[in-house]
Amino acid sequence: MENLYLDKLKEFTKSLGKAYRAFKIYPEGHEIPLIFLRELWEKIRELFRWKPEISFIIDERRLLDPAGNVIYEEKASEDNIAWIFYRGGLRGVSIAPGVTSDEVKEFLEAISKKALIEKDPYAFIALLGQKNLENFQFELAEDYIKSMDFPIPETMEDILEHKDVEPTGEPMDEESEEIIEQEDTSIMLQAREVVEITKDEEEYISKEIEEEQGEDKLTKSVNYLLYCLNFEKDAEWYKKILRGIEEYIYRSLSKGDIGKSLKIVKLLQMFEKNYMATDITKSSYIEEIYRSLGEKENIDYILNSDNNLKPEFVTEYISMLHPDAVSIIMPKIPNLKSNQLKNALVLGISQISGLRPNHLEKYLKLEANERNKPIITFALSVLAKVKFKDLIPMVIAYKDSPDSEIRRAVLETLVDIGTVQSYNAAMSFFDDEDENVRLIAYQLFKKYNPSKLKKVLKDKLLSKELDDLSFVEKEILFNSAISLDDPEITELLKNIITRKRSIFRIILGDKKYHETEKLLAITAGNLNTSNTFDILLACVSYGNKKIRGLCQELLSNKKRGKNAQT
Amino acid sequence: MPKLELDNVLILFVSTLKSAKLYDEGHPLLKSNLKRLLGVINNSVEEDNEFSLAVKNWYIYIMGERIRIHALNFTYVKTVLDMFKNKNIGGFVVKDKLEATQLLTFLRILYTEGLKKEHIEKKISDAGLSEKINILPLIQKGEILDPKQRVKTVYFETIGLVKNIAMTKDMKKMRTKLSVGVYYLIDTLKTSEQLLLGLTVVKNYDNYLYNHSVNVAILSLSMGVRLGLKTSHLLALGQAALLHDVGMSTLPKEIVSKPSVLTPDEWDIIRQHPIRGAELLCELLGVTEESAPCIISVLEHQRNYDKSGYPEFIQMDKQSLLSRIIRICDFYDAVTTPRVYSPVPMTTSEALKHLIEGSGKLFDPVLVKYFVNLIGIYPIGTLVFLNTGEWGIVIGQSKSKENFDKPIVQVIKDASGNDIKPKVIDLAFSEKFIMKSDTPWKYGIDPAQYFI
Repeated sequence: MENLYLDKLKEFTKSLGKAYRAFKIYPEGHEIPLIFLRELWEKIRELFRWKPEISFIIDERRLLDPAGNVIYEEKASEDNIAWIFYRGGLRGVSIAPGVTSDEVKEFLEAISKKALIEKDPYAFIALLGQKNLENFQFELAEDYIKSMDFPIPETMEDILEHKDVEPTGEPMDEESEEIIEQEDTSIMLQAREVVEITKDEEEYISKEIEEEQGEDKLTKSVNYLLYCLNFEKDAEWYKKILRGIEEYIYRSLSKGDIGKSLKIVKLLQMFEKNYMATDITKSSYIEEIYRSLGEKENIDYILNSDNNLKPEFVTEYISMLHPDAVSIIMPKIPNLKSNQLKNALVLGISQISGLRPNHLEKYLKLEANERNKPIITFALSVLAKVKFKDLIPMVIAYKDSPDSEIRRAVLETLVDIGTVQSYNAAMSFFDDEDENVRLIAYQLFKKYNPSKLKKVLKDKLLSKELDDLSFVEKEILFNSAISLDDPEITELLKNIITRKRSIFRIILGDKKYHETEKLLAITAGNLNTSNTFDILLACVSYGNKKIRGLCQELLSNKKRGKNAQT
Repeated sequence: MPKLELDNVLILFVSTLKSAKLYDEGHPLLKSNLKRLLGVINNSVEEDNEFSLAVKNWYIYIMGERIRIHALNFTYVKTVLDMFKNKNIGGFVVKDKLEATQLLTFLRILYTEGLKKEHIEKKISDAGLSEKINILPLIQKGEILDPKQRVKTVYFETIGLVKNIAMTKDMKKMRTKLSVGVYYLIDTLKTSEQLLLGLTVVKNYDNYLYNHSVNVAILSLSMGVRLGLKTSHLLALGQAALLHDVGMSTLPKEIVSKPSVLTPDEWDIIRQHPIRGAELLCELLGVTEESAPCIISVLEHQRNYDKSGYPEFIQMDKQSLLSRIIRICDFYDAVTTPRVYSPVPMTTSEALKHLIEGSGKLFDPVLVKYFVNLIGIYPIGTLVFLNTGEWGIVIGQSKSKENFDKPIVQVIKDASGNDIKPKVIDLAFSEKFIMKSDTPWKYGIDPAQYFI
């Protein structure tokens, strides 16, 4: 019977070792360790069917049962659970029957943080203390207690020898004497009355404990510290609070909780503004924090956060950094996959106060190869927001880049910058070899500079190559042209829709020729500008037979729509 | 076996062992003890297939359950630990029912001087008992302290820890030591609460501030255990209590320990200590999940239940539970500690009176009740005068609630006030009773001498 129990104990320690390794290897939340946890949990439950407590002694590289039988032994230190316990300061472990699988999991999580133990032998016990292992009882190593090298008195003489020597002087007041002379009988009676704790009071305490456990102490402590910060007159003490707060900001960042960091940084920003006029030392301390927020490690927290961060938080965070942070962010751009994150970064950088052209310049000078392409386009996007005029020539220099993505970014940047020089430079993109770039040019000019667009449209509509344009480009062209609602352009459009078809082209069966008119009619039918009626009416009156019917129908639809609206 | 009974089993085992050594087989006391012990052992064998008494490091386990050490059972625990250690045995297991004579034979083998494990096993075998009784090996690594020495070591080393924290320039190294120090306090409280509480009568050792902080931590943790706080919260409570006054170490000692009334300006400086403490912790510990409860308690420990107190500028929605516990324990230890400006401190009952009077205003009224229950109406270290005229120092509380006014007392003087060889009396089991109590300091008695 005993031997059977011993075998079960050995199976348990073996399973404990396996679970330990799984928890060590796999990241938190991985499924594999949970499989081993379940196996271990089964062993534990089985042992409780035999005895009311699972107990083992830690003897360097082996584990023993209370009777001294070896239940686990490994010569190597690596992955040796006995050695891990021993090095961590444990000499015995007892598990009570009330133990839950969650507790076992917490225990495994604690012991698998081996790196921690290797760094600091005290860390293991400290870690166990932070876990709620109510059904685990640990015997702690004796030598760990004696770490302070503090005199421990053996006799009263030793106590007297180490008594605190306080300054001597007159006794303070007579009040204390009065207290000494008072009789204590009444106190005993009062105490007798209060020893009974009522059910309501017990409930009150349970509620208070629950509340205490649920309270966000970190936020509360930071709020308190902000009060202190506001109150503190002494710059040196002020700096100490800031250091603590700084660590809080970094910790929140490292956990991906950028919102918490931001809240504090914003408050600090407010303080900084207040101190600007009154206390330069304090404001400079806060500025130091901004500077360090932009350090590589902190930026990495944001860029490596698996895109779980809210874009507006990223933008806000980046916007609060020192401009030097740009040089840390830029080289990381090629590794970013999320466009949402990139956009948030662009916005954030563009809002950094103190950002100067020189912070972007070197990235605009880069050779446009595959590696640099994302950096250049990113820098262009930032420039589009900050509109540094000094950098326009550098943007223009990329106009003829063989890479259409770069050309597209250049176009967008030039339009966003919005100067005469930049618009003039951007005009060339209407003839870009890449249709997509051309289409974007129509859209951007339509939105931001219709007058420049008019000239382009005029040329295009009169061009002999009009019919040869692609369906999409023609549609965009007509859409832009009709939307301008300009009499001159409208006349050109009417000419197109009413032009007599050349016999020669009909004979050749040129579909494009017909398609152009049909597309113009449909586009006009879909738009609501006032000139659309003129165009369609011209078609009905003078257009070709083949599209007259279509124009008539589109016109009727429009009229019906208008009547319905009225 | 219920925890309370474990103590009785241990006492019965030691008493029977002693009577087996002193008396002949027919002596009525030996016969009665043997009969009772035999009943316990055979009952266990019948119900659980065995009876075991084992020693692991400095703990004693009866039937696998650890015995809590306190003032009353301490001598018995020490007797067993010393005996087993000398004989190099880790205990014994009875696997079959015994006859009275067999038990007596076994006990006589056990107390025979000079026998080591192998001799004991041979003698058991010679007596034909090897099928029924197994001797366990002693498994110990490194130095093993006896329970009292261990509690003392934990107590004074924790004072050293607070001192190091207050003086260190590299707190990062102290972070884990702080957690470990508190964890040892919690562990010691769970096994030897009364011994540890007893040491809180040590005052002003090395430095008032450090000693006071450790006393506050012990009292707070004891309350925390009774309130049912989880280990992680006990850890936070212990750390917060140890560091609650750390800001005082930054203030000029001539003001902190000024032997006369403080001026308003000096008061202003004293009132800075919560802020200084929090600032120090910010620098030393940073603002983390672990340090946050400490920072909160440092800033709240001088605020009252009704939100009065200082620092006033902190807008406090509600004082945290940990701060409310520390507030009470801080007050109690401070007013019962002799200082240069008040060499005779409040009596413990005076301190209780102030706590009760401050209930609902300064202190959480329900927590005050728990505190009174924790320390009892005759707290450890109180000087009591018995109906016999003898003087005694309270060294432990009665285990039963009904006997809350009958503590365990160490008699130190006879009715004429002459020193006598101290003897321990559990008033719950004595005709003697308390007539009056007072602070020992008033009579020039430092109660610490009875606890170290």
